[in-house]
Amino acid sequence: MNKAVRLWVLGVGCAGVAVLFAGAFRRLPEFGGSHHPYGARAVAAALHRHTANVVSSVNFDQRSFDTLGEQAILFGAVLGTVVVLRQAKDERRVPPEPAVVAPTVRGYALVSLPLTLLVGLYVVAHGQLSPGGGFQGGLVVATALHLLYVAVDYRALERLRPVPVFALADAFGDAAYLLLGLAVLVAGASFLGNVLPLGTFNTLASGGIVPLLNAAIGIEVAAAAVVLLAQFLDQALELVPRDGEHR
Amino acid sequence: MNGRRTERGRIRRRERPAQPPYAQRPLFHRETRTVNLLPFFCAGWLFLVGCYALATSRNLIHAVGALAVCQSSTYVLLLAVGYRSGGTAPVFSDVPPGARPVVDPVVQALTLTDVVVGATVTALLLALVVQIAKRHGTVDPDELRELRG
Repeated sequence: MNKAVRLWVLGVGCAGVAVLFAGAFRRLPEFGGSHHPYGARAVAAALHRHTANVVSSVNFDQRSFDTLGEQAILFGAVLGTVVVLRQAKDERRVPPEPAVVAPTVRGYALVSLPLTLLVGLYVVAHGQLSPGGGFQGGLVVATALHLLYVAVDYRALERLRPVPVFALADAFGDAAYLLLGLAVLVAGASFLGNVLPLGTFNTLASGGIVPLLNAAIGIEVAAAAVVLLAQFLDQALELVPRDGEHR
Repeated sequence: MNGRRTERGRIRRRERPAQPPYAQRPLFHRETRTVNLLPFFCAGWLFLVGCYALATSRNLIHAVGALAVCQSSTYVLLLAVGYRSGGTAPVFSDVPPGARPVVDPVVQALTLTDVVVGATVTALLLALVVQIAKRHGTVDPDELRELRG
Protein backbone atom coordinates (compact mmCIF):
# COMPACT_ATOMS: atom_id res chain seq x y z
CA MET A 1 0.00 0.00 0.00
CA ASN A 2 1.58 3.26 -1.00
CA LYS A 3 1.51 6.42 1.03
CA ALA A 4 -1.39 8.21 -0.70
CA VAL A 5 -3.69 5.18 -0.41
CA ARG A 6 -2.72 4.77 3.22
CA LEU A 7 -3.55 8.41 3.97
CA TRP A 8 -6.90 8.06 2.22
CA VAL A 9 -7.81 4.96 4.23
CA LEU A 10 -6.77 6.77 7.38
CA GLY A 11 -8.83 9.85 6.47
CA VAL A 12 -11.97 7.83 5.75
CA GLY A 13 -11.54 5.85 8.98
CA CYS A 14 -10.94 8.95 11.09
CA ALA A 15 -13.94 10.73 9.52
CA GLY A 16 -16.14 7.72 10.29
CA VAL A 17 -14.94 7.57 13.89
CA ALA A 18 -15.44 11.34 14.22
CA VAL A 19 -19.06 11.04 13.02
CA LEU A 20 -19.71 8.17 15.46
CA PHE A 21 -18.09 10.17 18.30
CA ALA A 22 -20.22 13.23 17.50
CA GLY A 23 -23.38 11.12 17.54
CA ALA A 24 -22.43 9.41 20.80
CA PHE A 25 -21.29 12.57 22.60
CA ARG A 26 -24.61 14.29 21.89
CA ARG A 27 -26.41 11.72 24.03
CA LEU A 28 -23.90 11.73 26.88
CA PRO A 29 -24.96 13.19 30.22
CA GLU A 30 -24.43 16.94 30.15
CA PHE A 31 -20.94 18.09 31.14
CA GLY A 32 -20.95 19.28 34.75
CA GLY A 33 -24.42 17.92 35.45
CA SER A 34 -25.44 16.72 38.90
CA HIS A 35 -26.79 13.32 37.82
CA HIS A 36 -24.06 10.83 38.90
CA PRO A 37 -25.82 7.71 40.19
CA TYR A 38 -22.68 5.58 40.49
CA GLY A 39 -20.66 8.39 42.04
CA ALA A 40 -23.32 9.08 44.67
CA ARG A 41 -23.47 5.40 45.63
CA ALA A 42 -19.67 5.09 45.74
CA VAL A 43 -19.42 8.13 48.05
CA ALA A 44 -22.10 6.69 50.35
CA ALA A 45 -20.34 3.30 50.45
CA ALA A 46 -16.95 4.91 51.18
CA LEU A 47 -18.36 6.97 54.06
CA HIS A 48 -20.07 3.85 55.39
CA ARG A 49 -16.64 2.10 55.44
CA HIS A 50 -14.95 5.11 57.14
CA THR A 51 -12.68 5.84 54.16
CA ALA A 52 -12.16 9.57 53.61
CA ASN A 53 -10.55 9.23 50.17
CA VAL A 54 -13.38 7.89 48.05
CA VAL A 55 -11.09 7.12 45.09
CA SER A 56 -9.01 4.81 47.33
CA SER A 57 -12.18 3.22 48.62
CA VAL A 58 -13.29 2.51 45.04
CA ASN A 59 -9.90 1.08 44.08
CA PHE A 60 -9.06 -0.93 47.19
CA ASP A 61 -12.46 -1.79 48.66
CA GLN A 62 -15.38 -1.53 46.23
CA ARG A 63 -13.40 -2.60 43.14
CA SER A 64 -10.43 -4.30 44.82
CA PHE A 65 -10.78 -7.36 42.59
CA ASP A 66 -10.26 -5.17 39.51
CA THR A 67 -7.18 -3.67 41.13
CA LEU A 68 -5.85 -7.23 41.50
CA GLY A 69 -6.06 -7.52 37.71
CA GLU A 70 -4.51 -4.09 37.24
CA GLN A 71 -1.48 -4.92 39.38
CA ALA A 72 -1.16 -8.21 37.50
CA ILE A 73 -0.88 -6.14 34.29
CA LEU A 74 1.81 -4.03 35.96
CA PHE A 75 3.68 -7.16 37.06
CA GLY A 76 3.35 -8.72 33.61
CA ALA A 77 4.59 -5.59 31.85
CA VAL A 78 7.64 -5.39 34.13
CA LEU A 79 8.35 -9.08 33.55
CA GLY A 80 8.03 -8.58 29.79
CA THR A 81 10.40 -5.60 29.84
CA VAL A 82 12.98 -7.54 31.88
CA VAL A 83 12.81 -10.41 29.38
CA VAL A 84 12.98 -8.17 26.29
CA LEU A 85 15.87 -6.08 27.63
CA ARG A 86 17.98 -8.92 29.08
CA GLN A 87 21.65 -9.16 28.24
CA ALA A 88 21.90 -10.85 24.84
CA LYS A 89 24.58 -13.32 23.77
CA ASP A 90 26.36 -10.73 21.63
CA GLU A 91 26.52 -8.16 24.42
CA ARG A 92 28.81 -7.64 27.35
CA ARG A 93 28.62 -5.55 30.50
CA VAL A 94 31.08 -2.74 31.10
CA PRO A 95 31.34 -0.92 34.43
CA PRO A 96 29.68 2.52 34.17
CA GLU A 97 31.98 5.48 34.08
CA PRO A 98 32.06 7.90 37.00
CA ALA A 99 30.38 11.17 36.09
CA VAL A 100 31.18 14.76 36.94
CA VAL A 101 28.20 16.50 38.56
CA ALA A 102 27.88 20.23 39.15
CA PRO A 103 28.04 20.94 42.91
CA THR A 104 24.71 22.81 42.94
CA VAL A 105 22.96 19.88 41.21
CA ARG A 106 24.58 17.46 43.63
CA GLY A 107 23.59 19.52 46.68
CA TYR A 108 20.01 20.01 45.52
CA ALA A 109 19.53 16.33 44.64
CA LEU A 110 21.06 15.10 47.92
CA VAL A 111 18.81 17.43 49.93
CA SER A 112 15.67 16.51 48.02
CA LEU A 113 16.35 12.75 48.08
CA PRO A 114 15.31 12.11 51.73
CA LEU A 115 12.48 14.64 51.42
CA THR A 116 11.11 12.92 48.32
CA LEU A 117 11.43 9.53 50.00
CA LEU A 118 9.50 10.81 53.02
CA VAL A 119 6.79 12.36 50.81
CA GLY A 120 6.44 9.07 48.93
CA LEU A 121 6.05 7.03 52.11
CA TYR A 122 3.58 9.64 53.45
CA VAL A 123 1.49 9.43 50.28
CA VAL A 124 1.40 5.61 50.50
CA ALA A 125 0.50 5.63 54.20
CA HIS A 126 -2.24 8.27 53.84
CA GLY A 127 -3.87 6.75 50.77
CA GLN A 128 -7.12 6.16 52.64
CA LEU A 129 -7.26 9.79 53.85
CA SER A 130 -5.86 12.23 51.31
CA PRO A 131 -5.29 12.16 47.56
CA GLY A 132 -2.70 9.52 46.68
CA GLY A 133 -2.16 5.91 47.60
CA GLY A 134 0.04 2.99 46.70
CA PHE A 135 0.31 3.72 42.98
CA GLN A 136 1.21 7.39 43.32
CA GLY A 137 3.34 7.08 46.45
CA GLY A 138 5.21 4.06 45.09
CA LEU A 139 6.29 6.06 42.06
CA VAL A 140 7.44 8.95 44.27
CA VAL A 141 9.56 6.53 46.35
CA ALA A 142 11.14 5.11 43.17
CA THR A 143 11.84 8.64 41.94
CA ALA A 144 13.56 9.46 45.23
CA LEU A 145 16.03 6.59 44.79
CA HIS A 146 16.89 7.76 41.28
CA LEU A 147 17.79 11.21 42.55
CA LEU A 148 21.02 9.49 43.61
CA TYR A 149 21.80 8.95 39.91
CA VAL A 150 21.29 12.68 39.34
CA ALA A 151 23.32 13.62 42.41
CA VAL A 152 26.28 11.23 42.10
CA ASP A 153 26.42 8.71 39.25
CA TYR A 154 25.19 5.33 38.12
CA ARG A 155 27.65 3.38 40.24
CA ALA A 156 26.26 4.97 43.40
CA LEU A 157 22.72 4.13 42.32
CA GLU A 158 23.71 0.53 41.63
CA ARG A 159 25.15 0.18 45.12
CA LEU A 160 21.93 1.54 46.64
CA ARG A 161 19.51 -0.57 44.66
CA PRO A 162 20.46 -4.20 44.00
CA VAL A 163 17.99 -5.12 41.25
CA PRO A 164 17.37 -8.74 42.46
CA VAL A 165 16.19 -7.40 45.83
CA PHE A 166 13.76 -5.03 44.16
CA ALA A 167 12.56 -7.77 41.80
CA LEU A 168 11.80 -9.87 44.89
CA ALA A 169 10.03 -6.88 46.49
CA ASP A 170 7.93 -6.52 43.34
CA ALA A 171 6.88 -10.16 43.56
CA PHE A 172 6.31 -9.80 47.32
CA GLY A 173 3.95 -6.83 46.83
CA ASP A 174 2.10 -8.70 44.10
CA ALA A 175 1.76 -11.80 46.28
CA ALA A 176 0.83 -9.81 49.40
CA TYR A 177 -2.24 -8.40 47.64
CA LEU A 178 -3.38 -11.88 46.62
CA LEU A 179 -2.58 -13.40 50.03
CA LEU A 180 -4.51 -10.64 51.83
CA GLY A 181 -7.51 -11.53 49.69
CA LEU A 182 -7.08 -15.23 50.45
CA ALA A 183 -6.67 -14.50 54.18
CA VAL A 184 -10.04 -12.76 54.15
CA LEU A 185 -11.45 -15.80 52.35
CA VAL A 186 -10.03 -18.12 55.04
CA ALA A 187 -11.48 -15.84 57.73
CA GLY A 188 -14.92 -16.63 56.34
CA ALA A 189 -15.75 -13.57 54.21
CA SER A 190 -15.69 -13.07 50.45
CA PHE A 191 -12.37 -12.72 48.56
CA LEU A 192 -10.77 -9.32 49.34
CA GLY A 193 -13.80 -8.37 51.48
CA ASN A 194 -13.38 -5.53 53.97
CA VAL A 195 -13.78 -7.38 57.28
CA LEU A 196 -11.13 -5.59 59.37
CA PRO A 197 -12.20 -3.07 62.03
CA LEU A 198 -13.07 0.16 60.21
CA GLY A 199 -11.52 2.50 62.77
CA THR A 200 -12.33 6.17 63.33
CA PHE A 201 -13.18 8.19 60.23
CA ASN A 202 -10.33 10.43 59.01
CA THR A 203 -7.59 8.85 61.13
CA LEU A 204 -4.57 6.86 59.92
CA ALA A 205 -6.07 3.54 61.10
CA SER A 206 -9.34 3.75 59.21
CA GLY A 207 -10.82 2.07 56.18
CA GLY A 208 -10.23 -1.54 57.26
CA ILE A 209 -8.31 -3.38 54.54
CA VAL A 210 -7.67 -0.27 52.41
CA PRO A 211 -4.36 0.81 54.06
CA LEU A 212 -3.01 -2.76 53.91
CA LEU A 213 -3.78 -3.15 50.21
CA ASN A 214 -2.36 0.34 49.65
CA ALA A 215 0.89 -0.72 51.32
CA ALA A 216 1.10 -3.89 49.19
CA ILE A 217 0.55 -1.85 46.02
CA GLY A 218 3.03 0.78 47.22
CA ILE A 219 5.76 -1.85 47.63
CA GLU A 220 4.95 -3.38 44.26
CA VAL A 221 4.84 -0.11 42.31
CA ALA A 222 8.02 1.28 43.88
CA ALA A 223 9.91 -1.96 43.18
CA ALA A 224 8.42 -2.26 39.68
CA ALA A 225 9.46 1.27 38.74
CA VAL A 226 12.99 0.67 40.05
CA VAL A 227 13.32 -2.62 38.13
CA LEU A 228 11.88 -1.05 34.95
CA LEU A 229 14.22 1.94 35.05
CA ALA A 230 17.17 -0.33 35.86
CA GLN A 231 16.57 -2.21 32.60
CA PHE A 232 16.58 0.97 30.53
CA LEU A 233 19.54 2.49 32.38
CA ASP A 234 21.53 -0.74 31.92
CA GLN A 235 20.82 -0.58 28.20
CA ALA A 236 22.07 2.99 28.00
CA LEU A 237 25.05 2.78 30.37
CA GLU A 238 26.29 -0.78 30.80
CA LEU A 239 25.48 -3.08 27.88
CA VAL A 240 27.66 -2.78 24.79
CA PRO A 241 28.03 -5.03 21.73
CA ARG A 242 30.61 -7.76 22.31
CA ASP A 243 32.73 -6.79 19.30
CA GLY A 244 32.49 -3.04 19.92
CA GLU A 245 35.18 -1.38 21.96
CA HIS A 246 33.21 1.56 23.26
CA ARG A 247 29.62 2.26 24.25
CA MET B 1 -55.12 6.94 8.62
CA ASN B 2 -53.21 9.92 10.03
CA GLY B 3 -55.23 9.97 13.22
CA ARG B 4 -54.61 6.32 13.96
CA ARG B 5 -50.88 6.74 13.57
CA THR B 6 -50.78 9.61 16.07
CA GLU B 7 -52.92 7.52 18.40
CA ARG B 8 -50.42 4.69 18.27
CA GLY B 9 -47.57 7.09 18.75
CA ARG B 10 -49.22 8.52 21.85
CA ILE B 11 -49.71 5.09 23.39
CA ARG B 12 -46.13 4.18 22.75
CA ARG B 13 -44.90 7.35 24.35
CA ARG B 14 -46.99 6.78 27.45
CA GLU B 15 -45.66 3.24 27.92
CA ARG B 16 -42.04 4.26 27.66
CA PRO B 17 -40.28 3.93 31.05
CA ALA B 18 -39.08 7.02 32.88
CA GLN B 19 -35.78 8.28 31.45
CA PRO B 20 -32.94 10.09 33.20
CA PRO B 21 -33.02 13.86 32.68
CA TYR B 22 -30.24 13.99 30.12
CA ALA B 23 -32.03 11.57 27.77
CA GLN B 24 -35.15 13.75 27.66
CA ARG B 25 -33.32 16.73 26.22
CA PRO B 26 -33.51 17.36 22.49
CA LEU B 27 -30.55 16.12 20.48
CA PHE B 28 -29.92 19.53 18.94
CA HIS B 29 -30.00 22.50 21.25
CA ARG B 30 -27.91 25.03 19.50
CA GLU B 31 -26.73 27.53 22.14
CA THR B 32 -25.91 25.55 25.26
CA ARG B 33 -25.07 22.09 23.96
CA THR B 34 -21.99 23.01 21.92
CA VAL B 35 -20.28 24.64 24.90
CA ASN B 36 -21.27 21.84 27.25
CA LEU B 37 -19.99 19.18 24.86
CA LEU B 38 -16.60 20.81 24.33
CA PRO B 39 -14.69 18.51 26.78
CA PHE B 40 -16.11 15.42 25.06
CA PHE B 41 -15.14 16.68 21.62
CA CYS B 42 -11.71 17.57 22.99
CA ALA B 43 -11.32 13.90 24.00
CA GLY B 44 -12.43 12.75 20.53
CA TRP B 45 -10.06 15.22 18.88
CA LEU B 46 -7.13 13.99 21.02
CA PHE B 47 -7.90 10.40 20.03
CA LEU B 48 -8.03 11.21 16.31
CA VAL B 49 -4.86 13.33 16.44
CA GLY B 50 -3.11 10.43 18.16
CA CYS B 51 -4.36 8.02 15.48
CA TYR B 52 -3.14 10.31 12.72
CA ALA B 53 0.30 10.61 14.33
CA LEU B 54 0.43 6.84 14.86
CA ALA B 55 -0.41 6.07 11.23
CA THR B 56 1.94 8.61 9.67
CA SER B 57 4.80 8.08 12.13
CA ARG B 58 8.32 7.65 10.74
CA ASN B 59 9.88 6.82 14.09
CA LEU B 60 8.81 4.10 16.52
CA ILE B 61 9.57 6.22 19.60
CA HIS B 62 7.32 8.90 18.13
CA ALA B 63 4.68 6.20 17.52
CA VAL B 64 4.78 5.16 21.19
CA GLY B 65 4.27 8.82 22.10
CA ALA B 66 1.33 9.00 19.69
CA LEU B 67 -0.21 5.98 21.38
CA ALA B 68 0.15 7.79 24.71
CA VAL B 69 -1.78 10.73 23.19
CA CYS B 70 -4.55 8.30 22.16
CA GLN B 71 -4.63 6.95 25.69
CA SER B 72 -4.79 10.40 27.22
CA SER B 73 -8.02 11.02 25.29
CA THR B 74 -9.65 8.39 27.51
CA TYR B 75 -8.50 10.26 30.62
CA VAL B 76 -10.13 13.46 29.33
CA LEU B 77 -13.32 11.61 28.41
CA LEU B 78 -13.60 9.79 31.76
CA LEU B 79 -12.93 12.89 33.84
CA ALA B 80 -15.34 14.94 31.70
CA VAL B 81 -18.10 12.37 32.21
CA GLY B 82 -17.56 12.51 35.97
CA TYR B 83 -17.30 16.28 36.31
CA ARG B 84 -19.90 18.16 38.28
CA SER B 85 -20.22 21.97 38.24
CA GLY B 86 -18.87 23.43 41.47
CA GLY B 87 -17.73 19.99 42.58
CA THR B 88 -14.54 19.38 44.53
CA ALA B 89 -12.31 16.28 44.82
CA PRO B 90 -14.09 13.23 46.30
CA VAL B 91 -11.87 13.30 49.39
CA PHE B 92 -13.36 14.08 52.79
CA SER B 93 -10.22 14.55 54.88
CA ASP B 94 -10.68 18.35 54.99
CA VAL B 95 -14.23 18.79 53.65
CA PRO B 96 -17.05 17.48 55.87
CA PRO B 97 -19.24 14.98 54.00
CA GLY B 98 -22.21 16.68 52.38
CA ALA B 99 -20.76 20.20 52.68
CA ARG B 100 -19.96 20.49 48.97
CA PRO B 101 -20.87 18.47 45.89
CA VAL B 102 -18.04 16.20 44.77
CA VAL B 103 -17.13 14.94 41.30
CA ASP B 104 -17.71 11.29 40.41
CA PRO B 105 -15.05 9.15 42.19
CA VAL B 106 -15.73 6.05 40.08
CA VAL B 107 -14.37 7.57 36.87
CA GLN B 108 -11.42 9.01 38.78
CA ALA B 109 -10.53 5.51 39.98
CA LEU B 110 -10.91 4.24 36.41
CA THR B 111 -8.60 7.01 35.18
CA LEU B 112 -6.01 6.01 37.78
CA THR B 113 -6.17 2.43 36.47
CA ASP B 114 -5.88 3.79 32.96
CA VAL B 115 -2.78 5.87 33.76
CA VAL B 116 -1.00 2.94 35.45
CA VAL B 117 -1.73 0.51 32.64
CA GLY B 118 -0.81 3.15 30.04
CA ALA B 119 2.55 3.83 31.69
CA THR B 120 3.50 0.16 31.96
CA VAL B 121 2.46 -0.59 28.39
CA THR B 122 4.49 2.40 27.21
CA ALA B 123 7.53 1.00 29.05
CA LEU B 124 7.06 -2.42 27.45
CA LEU B 125 6.69 -0.89 23.97
CA LEU B 126 9.80 1.25 24.45
CA ALA B 127 11.71 -1.89 25.46
CA LEU B 128 10.62 -3.48 22.19
CA VAL B 129 11.76 -0.37 20.31
CA VAL B 130 15.19 -0.64 21.97
CA GLN B 131 15.50 -4.23 20.76
CA ILE B 132 14.27 -3.36 17.25
CA ALA B 133 16.81 -0.56 17.02
CA LYS B 134 19.58 -2.95 18.10
CA ARG B 135 18.59 -5.85 15.83
CA HIS B 136 17.56 -3.94 12.69
CA GLY B 137 19.54 -0.73 13.03
CA THR B 138 16.50 1.45 12.35
CA VAL B 139 13.42 2.77 14.13
CA ASP B 140 11.57 3.74 10.93
CA PRO B 141 8.51 1.46 10.65
CA ASP B 142 8.57 1.77 6.85
CA GLU B 143 12.01 0.13 6.74
CA LEU B 144 10.83 -2.81 8.84
CA ARG B 145 8.78 -4.44 6.09
CA GLU B 146 10.37 -7.85 5.75
CA LEU B 147 10.84 -10.38 8.52
CA ARG B 148 14.41 -11.24 9.41
CA GLY B 149 15.63 -14.20 11.42
